[in-house]
Amino acid sequence: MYDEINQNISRLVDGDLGHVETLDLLKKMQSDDALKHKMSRYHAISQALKTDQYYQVSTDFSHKIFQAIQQEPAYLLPQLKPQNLTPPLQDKTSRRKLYAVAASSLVAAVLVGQGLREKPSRNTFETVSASAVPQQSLPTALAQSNPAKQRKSPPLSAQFNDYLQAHNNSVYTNGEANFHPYAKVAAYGRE
Amino acid sequence: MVQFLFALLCVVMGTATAVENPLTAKQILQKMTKAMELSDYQGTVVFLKNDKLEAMKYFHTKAKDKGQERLVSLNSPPREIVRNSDEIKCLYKLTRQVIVEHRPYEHSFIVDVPKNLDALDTSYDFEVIGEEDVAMMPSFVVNIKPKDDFRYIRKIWIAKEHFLPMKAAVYDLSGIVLEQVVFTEMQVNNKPADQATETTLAEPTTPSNDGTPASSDSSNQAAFEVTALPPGFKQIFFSRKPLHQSDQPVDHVLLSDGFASVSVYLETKKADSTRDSPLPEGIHSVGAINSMIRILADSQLTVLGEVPASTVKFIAEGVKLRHPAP
Repeated sequence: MYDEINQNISRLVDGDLGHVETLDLLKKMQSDDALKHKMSRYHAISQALKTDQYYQVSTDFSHKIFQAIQQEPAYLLPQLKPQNLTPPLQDKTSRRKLYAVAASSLVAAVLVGQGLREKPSRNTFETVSASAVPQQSLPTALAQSNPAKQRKSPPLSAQFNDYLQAHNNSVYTNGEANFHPYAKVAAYGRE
Repeated sequence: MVQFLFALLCVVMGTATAVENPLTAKQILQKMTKAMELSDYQGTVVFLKNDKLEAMKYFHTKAKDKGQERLVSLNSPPREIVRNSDEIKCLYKLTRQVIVEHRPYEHSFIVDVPKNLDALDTSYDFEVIGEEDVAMMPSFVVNIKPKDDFRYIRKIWIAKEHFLPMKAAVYDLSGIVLEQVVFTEMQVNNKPADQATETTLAEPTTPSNDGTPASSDSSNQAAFEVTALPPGFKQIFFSRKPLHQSDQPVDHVLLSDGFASVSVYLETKKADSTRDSPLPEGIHSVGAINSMIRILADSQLTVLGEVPASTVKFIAEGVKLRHPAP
């Protein structure tokens, strides 16, 4: 019995467990803290074996989601009532839905974890840098006249830089260190 | 009693009229131009131009009826740039190198607005489109919308308190930001100008052979003629002088519609095309700047400016050689 559960946890961690079995396993884990911890250990082992990285999945992850959903405020919007369902049945259906959402969230978390692991092993966590640059890019030779399709980013040629400098004062404000062919060097300060 | 009521009515009507007639966009821009000339102010300004972001300290002082602008870089390379009227000096602090230029066609590092805005009515619509805070300063947002596709859209944020420009942006025709200049903080000084400006930029120690245009009077002297100009554009400046590290002169004609400017350069095509890797014929772009290169006989024509690619193409295709290139 326990071997089967262990196997199912392992399959869940690997993303191989079917939907129905996942739901069944999650139900069991809800009432069994030992299973929750086992799930966490399996996840850690799996991660450690596959990558150098480790990130902890909380044992009560699905429970927290379940609780959060239960605590969602009720919105009193007009809604069609299902007529054929008796109140107890409605309650059962809604609980099933909640389980399904919680289970889906857990599966999603596991899948995201796997997705991260499957990335090239050089860096599991990639640095995201925000840079404020306009959508147009540096100059390039363009065969067509449609500017939207023409922009690539080779370095500015010295000639283009000279023209740009003669055209406006942006060379002073954008930190060009190596310009001076257009403006003549008037002096070298001596201390 | 009747007289009292009539007087009260007049006051109420007058107040109502004043409320109904806020400043127009042109009036705000004119007040801004005046405030830029007459105020002593300073702040931190961020430039986003030509795909580069740069933060600098900005100082404006009014001394001896002349405004002086000063920019001090906050990032490497350390440098200080001073504009006195049309003269710009740039000091590179590490090398102690001073560069001097004359730019009679520019008046501000922040934003250049022509004095006669009515002359721009054929090219632009001016509208106050709202109010926003910039650097915690409530500001008018003035939209300068082109009436055709030859130029870009501009917006200027002008502080309601002192009418100084807090932010200026250039957008392409689809609304994407191409260039921005924005103050992150600003103080308007009341102290004397001489105390406010303490430039480290020394006077040149050698006679100022300072890049003054060899000729800037008439574009008729240029080796080429711009036969087709987009509506509103005029030729405002001409020079013939070496631009690169050689003695070969380059003809430069500057066109402007008041906000947007386009430069037209003509020089003899280099025999050795590997030097400096000149750009090939066609359209090129960097930030808000689009350019087009054409070969005319043995000369290379380059048209560039902060205008759409179609505009530089239109101008470049209308250029004809007047006589052999310099």
